[in-house]
Amino acid sequence: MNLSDLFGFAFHSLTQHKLRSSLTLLGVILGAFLVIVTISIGQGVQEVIPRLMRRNDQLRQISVQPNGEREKADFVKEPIVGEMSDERRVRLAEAKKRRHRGRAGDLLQPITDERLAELAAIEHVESAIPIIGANVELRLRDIASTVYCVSSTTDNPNIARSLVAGRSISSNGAKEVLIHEFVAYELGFQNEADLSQLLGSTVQLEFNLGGSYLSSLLQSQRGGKQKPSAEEQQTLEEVMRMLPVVAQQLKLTDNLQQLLKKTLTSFAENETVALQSSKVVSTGDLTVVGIYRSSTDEEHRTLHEYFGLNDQAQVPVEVARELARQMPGFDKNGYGQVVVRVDEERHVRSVVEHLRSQKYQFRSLVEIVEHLQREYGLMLWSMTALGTVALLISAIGITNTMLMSVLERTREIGIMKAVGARDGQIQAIFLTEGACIGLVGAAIALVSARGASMFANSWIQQIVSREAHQPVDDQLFLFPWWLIVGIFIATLTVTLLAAWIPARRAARIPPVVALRHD
Amino acid sequence: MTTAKATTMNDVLVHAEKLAKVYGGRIPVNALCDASFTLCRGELAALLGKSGSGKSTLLNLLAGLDQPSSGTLVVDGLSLHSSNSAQMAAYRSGTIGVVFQSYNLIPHQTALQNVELPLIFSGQARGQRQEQAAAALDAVGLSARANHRPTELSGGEQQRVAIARALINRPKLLLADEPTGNLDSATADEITALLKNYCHEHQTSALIVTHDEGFARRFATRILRMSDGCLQEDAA
Ligand SMILES: Nc1ncnc2c1ncn2[C@@H]1O[C@H](COP(=O)(O)OP(=O)(O)O)[C@@H](O)[C@H]1O
Ligand SMILES: [Mg+2]
Repeated sequence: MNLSDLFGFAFHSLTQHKLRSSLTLLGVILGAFLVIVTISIGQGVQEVIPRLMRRNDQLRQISVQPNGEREKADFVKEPIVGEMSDERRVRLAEAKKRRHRGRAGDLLQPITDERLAELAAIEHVESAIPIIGANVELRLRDIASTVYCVSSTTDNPNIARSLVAGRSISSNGAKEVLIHEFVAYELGFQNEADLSQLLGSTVQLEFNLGGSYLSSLLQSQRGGKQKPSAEEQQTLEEVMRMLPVVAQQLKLTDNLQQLLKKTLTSFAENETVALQSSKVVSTGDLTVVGIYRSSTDEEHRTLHEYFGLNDQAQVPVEVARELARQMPGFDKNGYGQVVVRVDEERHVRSVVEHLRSQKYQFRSLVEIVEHLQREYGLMLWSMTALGTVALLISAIGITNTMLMSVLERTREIGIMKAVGARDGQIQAIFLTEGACIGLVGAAIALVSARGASMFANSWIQQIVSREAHQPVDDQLFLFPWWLIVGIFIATLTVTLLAAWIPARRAARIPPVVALRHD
Repeated sequence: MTTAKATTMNDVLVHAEKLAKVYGGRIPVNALCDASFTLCRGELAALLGKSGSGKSTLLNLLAGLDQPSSGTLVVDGLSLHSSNSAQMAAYRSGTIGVVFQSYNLIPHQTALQNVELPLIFSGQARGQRQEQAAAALDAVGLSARANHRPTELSGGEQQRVAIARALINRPKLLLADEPTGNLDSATADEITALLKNYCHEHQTSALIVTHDEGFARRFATRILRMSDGCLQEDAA
């Protein structure tokens, strides 16, 4: 008796009772279908999430920020005063601490240049590059414009796409600058053809420390584009010295006279000090090498990139660092944000752990991806468990049906034994029936799950691409080879186990007893 | 008990010594008491007795379908009283062929498939099997009904199918339990002739259970009698 004989017997006996066999099979199909679909969608989700994130190579990047803890300012340390119960005093002290948390005092752990070097030296870290942004004055010959300037690097993929004239920066330390097209327009380069004249021009980015109120008022009244000249500055100083004298000439009551004089004198003094102590921090000469535009709505949607939306100038990161170092309080505040790039995705985790141990604040997409995968994974595994339960219930159905079948076929079993069937052969016949139900069930479940998922995949893709205005080819349902093999093995195992008891029982019936049965 | 003629060990096919069967249950039944007999190769024996006298009980023991309560039973060198289920299965498959009163065909299989069944369990290849089964059906004159199911056949035809099945493995011992019990006398005669011819042609031993004295005399050279579980033999 070989395998084909066994399958012959099984096929014959299963087709004897078509309705019964179909119902048994249906149970197996439903259970297996549920298991397949949930595992398949689980695989899809686990792959789609990182794939979406990987588009801009963001999975290797970690955005690091200084730990927000600050030294406590003196007033926070001051005790709570007033008469009150000890409990309330403790409560208020706690509330006070909470209220001023992260706002007062110096950062305990600013990201200084030393710390930046430490970050870059972490194992598997490719680079640690600060992101710097500041409002500065862009000066072109005698015109100036206040612009928000950010640091940029040569590997920024968005620059090339957004350039309307010129080229990208040549190195992270080059004395170059990229200018937003609207700043160019404001600087007087209105015709498109004029833009090329701006390229190659020398500009400076400056940062005014101190400075008088009147002086900046004057500048902002001119649209912020033109700084007061040295002559004008002198005139302003003159005006300020005059102010208290002017007040005396006004016909006012003595009281008002006194008040105004006092106010104007202190104002004039402050302004004079400010004017004299004002200091200009500059990048020195930078060459304009490119003019860029903001990314379009379309680009936001598809690339999730907000490029050139809030900034008006970009300088190589080393230039920006040089400027930042000269800003007041840099040694206390350090860099606000650093992008750490890891050599390979699989090493991100260890770098993240290191950052955590060093008490940095950070955001890593890998963490978010893992979180999502865990969340969805949990949900999908519980659904898979449900499917497995369904499969097991169908297995009980198989056992039940086959026990009935053994009972019905007792005489037939007796006949087979009388003409020479061994116990093992009888057992094999019934196990093969179970196996047939399992194999056919798994095959039908796989085919229908595949069909359903192709339908669902294209339906979902249609919806998503309509939303995203671009073709999407992500598959939500995945059928890795191990799922196909695994579902066959699992279903086969379950149905064989289900058939085991009936098959044993069939094999052990004594032949005389079986033959007497009717 | 001794047989009339002297026999050598080689000639002995069946040897039973004080064979007994007690059916357990609420009230134990002594269906067979200390039966001893010997059957030689090529001998045809009939077992006569009233209904309930224990004929089927003895036949089931010989057919390896049941185990004796005590005594020894050796058939073709195999001690059936101490064999395991695998040895019994091999014995049923290779040494004997059994024909029952109620035919015992598998109802949802065709005549040909029923005849083929013993060959499947003895591990013959499919092609050979079908050829052999067709030839066996031909030998009992039923080749025209090969693809019919038992329900589509008359009693005599069904018993022919059962005989073809019993003989397909060329047994050394043919056992039949009232093979003509359900048939009219004309058909019964045909069946008897069929069995007798076969046994003569193939030098096969046979033990046929019957309660028909005439049939027994026509068929057998030896007549055994059973009454209340006790076996006796007519003098030759
Ligand atoms: N399974 C059984 N359990 C109990 N008693 C049985 C069983 N089979 C047969 N008997 C009894 O054993 C005796 C012999 O039965 P059986 O061999 O079938 O007789 P026969 O075939 O000669 O008609 C009868 O009294 C019968 O009632
Ligand atoms: Mg009987």
